[in-house]
Amino acid sequence: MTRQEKLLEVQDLQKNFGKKDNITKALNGVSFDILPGEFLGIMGPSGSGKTTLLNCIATIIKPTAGRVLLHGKNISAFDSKDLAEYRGSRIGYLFQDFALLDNLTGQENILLPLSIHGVDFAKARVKLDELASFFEITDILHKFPSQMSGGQKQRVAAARSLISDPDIVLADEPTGALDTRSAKILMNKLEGMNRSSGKTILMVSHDPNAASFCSRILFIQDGVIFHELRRKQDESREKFYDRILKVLAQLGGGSANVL
Amino acid sequence: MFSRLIYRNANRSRKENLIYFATLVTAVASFYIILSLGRQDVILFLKEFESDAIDKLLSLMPLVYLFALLLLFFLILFANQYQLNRRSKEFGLYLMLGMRKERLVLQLAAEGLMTSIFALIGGILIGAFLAEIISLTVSKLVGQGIIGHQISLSVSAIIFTIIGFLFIQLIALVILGGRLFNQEVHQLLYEQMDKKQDMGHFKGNIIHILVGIVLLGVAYWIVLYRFMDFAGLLLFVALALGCLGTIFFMRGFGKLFGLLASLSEGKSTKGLRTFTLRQFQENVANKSTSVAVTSILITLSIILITNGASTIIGFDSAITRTSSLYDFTVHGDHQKVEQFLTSEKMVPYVEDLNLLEIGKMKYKDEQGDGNSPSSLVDWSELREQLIMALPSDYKEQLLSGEMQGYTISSENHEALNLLGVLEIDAKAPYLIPESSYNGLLKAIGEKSLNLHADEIALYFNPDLLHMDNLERMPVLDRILEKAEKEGQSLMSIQGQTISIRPSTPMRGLVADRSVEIHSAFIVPDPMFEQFLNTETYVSYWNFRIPQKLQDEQGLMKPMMEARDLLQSSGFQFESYLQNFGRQLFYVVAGSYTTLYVGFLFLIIACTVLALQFLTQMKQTGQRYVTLSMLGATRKQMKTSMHRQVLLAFLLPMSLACVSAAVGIKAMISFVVIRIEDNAFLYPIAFAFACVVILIFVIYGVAVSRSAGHEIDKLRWKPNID
Repeated sequence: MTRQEKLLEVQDLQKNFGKKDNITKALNGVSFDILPGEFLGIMGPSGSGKTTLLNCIATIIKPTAGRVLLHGKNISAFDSKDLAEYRGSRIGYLFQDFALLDNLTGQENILLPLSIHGVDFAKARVKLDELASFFEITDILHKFPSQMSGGQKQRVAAARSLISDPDIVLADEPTGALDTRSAKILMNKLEGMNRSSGKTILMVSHDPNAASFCSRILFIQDGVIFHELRRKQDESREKFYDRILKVLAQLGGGSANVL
Repeated sequence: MFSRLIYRNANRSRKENLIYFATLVTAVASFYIILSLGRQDVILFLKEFESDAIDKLLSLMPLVYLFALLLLFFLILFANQYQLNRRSKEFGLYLMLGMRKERLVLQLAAEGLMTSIFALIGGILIGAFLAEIISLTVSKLVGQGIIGHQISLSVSAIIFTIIGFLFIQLIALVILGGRLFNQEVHQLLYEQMDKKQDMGHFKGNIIHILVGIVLLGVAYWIVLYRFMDFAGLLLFVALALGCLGTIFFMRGFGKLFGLLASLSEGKSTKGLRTFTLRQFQENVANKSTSVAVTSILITLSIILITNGASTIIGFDSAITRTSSLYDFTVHGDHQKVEQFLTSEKMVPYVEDLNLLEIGKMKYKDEQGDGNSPSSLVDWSELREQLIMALPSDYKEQLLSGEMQGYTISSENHEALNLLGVLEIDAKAPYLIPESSYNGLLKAIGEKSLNLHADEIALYFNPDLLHMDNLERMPVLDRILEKAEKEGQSLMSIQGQTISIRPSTPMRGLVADRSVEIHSAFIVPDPMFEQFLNTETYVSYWNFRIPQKLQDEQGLMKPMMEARDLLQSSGFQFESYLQNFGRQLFYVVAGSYTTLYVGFLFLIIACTVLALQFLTQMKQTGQRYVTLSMLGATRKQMKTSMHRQVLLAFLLPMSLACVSAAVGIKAMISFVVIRIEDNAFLYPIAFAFACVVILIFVIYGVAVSRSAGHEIDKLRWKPNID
């Protein structure tokens, strides 16, 4: 590992659901780091705890134990006021169901995080145009979500997650509601954003196709990290995809079932 | 198990949805109030004097009740629909778990019954309490302490309230249950507000708003300037145009509002401004018709409440006894009546006993020769003077012979009224002997007239001539004083010149209505004997309740006692009570129904606005979750929500205020309602305005609190892996 500053550190994260006699350990001591500019994927079967992990990082739920450090600050211990400042400005979100407000136009949706945080629109004008042309949504900026296709919606949502120039974008199954073609376009764009401007992205997915765009993948099962794949330099996406499938086969049909 | 579920659900819907339950309670209370009207103190009191009129009024009440039933039916339907929408997911779940639809509908009916019973208990209690308060207030306010208080609880009102309320609840549930029955489980489980953002074409919206403004303008114009044309039929046209205009206006406005939102986005992105505007726009644009309807309802309610309030304000001036002097007038045999009134049992009640004699003047030639008999009175000089005193446009009309008849009205110039009255009366005027009138003057503490043998005074009935000042008639007095100074004679009777005494104080001649004359000549007693047409002679005994007794017991109690004594005597009599009762009846009939319907409209409008807002809030709850994910604080979201509530209430309210102002202006200028400047005007107007605003504020706060509750309840629910 190069001696770079760590962007995000997850330290022995634990999350329990339920009370006393009926405790489910969704996360049972997960630790990893994310370096600036990484495109990290998290994969795992249903119930493995991957969304719980993302939600802990996203500050949507509080971990039972352990810490999440963003630039060395423990964001999992923030109170709601500090959290509000972090959400939408330091952390960008991308959801499976887009989570666009359907009574706001595309542009209004994209600018929403800025207005919430009281940023002057004039400063964001350039950024908005840049993102719109990058995601090819300039034409639909004044349309309402109901007038857009699923792929367009998700690209608008992606632009929204990036408008405030966050340190990290958290994506929860961003391709889950998209058809293969739209999914591919979106992933290409996200990868491009990661490559060209070094945006750090953390993506949860169980779609190996989407995951093959990542630079590194953590596999989670039963609340612990079970495996890690790193895309080699110059490794083609297809080859990486094959390697992912192998791990998944092991996860789903291999040792897990035997055990 | 099944019954426990019903019980729990009914309890829950009461607690969770206070507005729904409050709507039901309001409906019950308003039914009860209208139905128990017959038990109100004022009505019971009035029954003694104006039983026919009261019966007529009470027989109208079932119609008002039916009207209220119809209106509240829609309200209940709306409230139930809101409630069922809230719970559609739950119903879907029941069906998924294998509950049959019949059973679900049955369960809903049972729950509805449970809720209805609670609403009935609450509503009847509140209604009875309100009816009691209204009864007490009204009898205190207008009854001047005479109207005794009785508990107004009415069993038949309760029964009909229960029947009516259950009936509309049943129909509403049948309709909604039927709809539920036909829905698919999926629809129930995943119902969302997936309406397209129908922004319409820009041009279309401009046209909508223009059409709306034009229609409203025409309606206003008709109301302001053509109010009475075609026997008031145009009013209905105006009403229809106004309603249509409001609907168009709201439709265009809601969509154009989006333009405002998109214009503002370039300039400022502060906080949730855009979001607030868009939410409001969605609320108005998607529900423009019902927003328009609430606006119309508020307009009507403001007009009705103003009308009702002005009746109450007017009542004060109607019962102040400016011109009426005597409390009783007894009719009958001269001596016998006098004997009775001076008898021991009556004496405590009698003061200023005075005999009023009155009769018409003879004609010059009683026998006549086929033509109408000619008059003894020649008042051409006076007539000329009066014509000279007319405003110039009337003068021309009169002199050119254009003017054919006269109407006596408070709007007219004094000289015109006098002229009109004298033209009719002076031919064979009523005569009152000076001694009779001196008795009256003595009672009000004025000097006797002491007329010369060739002098008379003119009497004009202050009630019929709408006099502002009872002591003077400025125009007439000026003419008379001038004539006196210049020694000019304005009148002659049977060739003899007569002078006329100026500045005679005028009062009502009798207690109520037995003498309905416009004018009379007050003449010296010998002249009365000389010119009286004996066939027309009548006499009345007038008296007042002694001031001392009034100070001790109030006016009404001794008056009622005297009335009972007189009734047992068998004499014909009338009393000020009848006058009072009649005025009171006009007020009660005029104000009760208008105020009732006015407040009903207001409450319906507020409830519709409230439920509509909360429905939208519920359906778009997910948006607030997204907002919080993007970093919006609860405080920001609540601020946005409060603004939305404010806008949602203010928009229909502001248009309604404009329309209502126009309506009220028209009603004032066409004297449908008379706003007189008296001491009660401002307190009462202020009180009613406060009540209206208070109702709005209560609803606004209730909505804000419920919506705030929804925001507090928002939790980010993690997706299942």
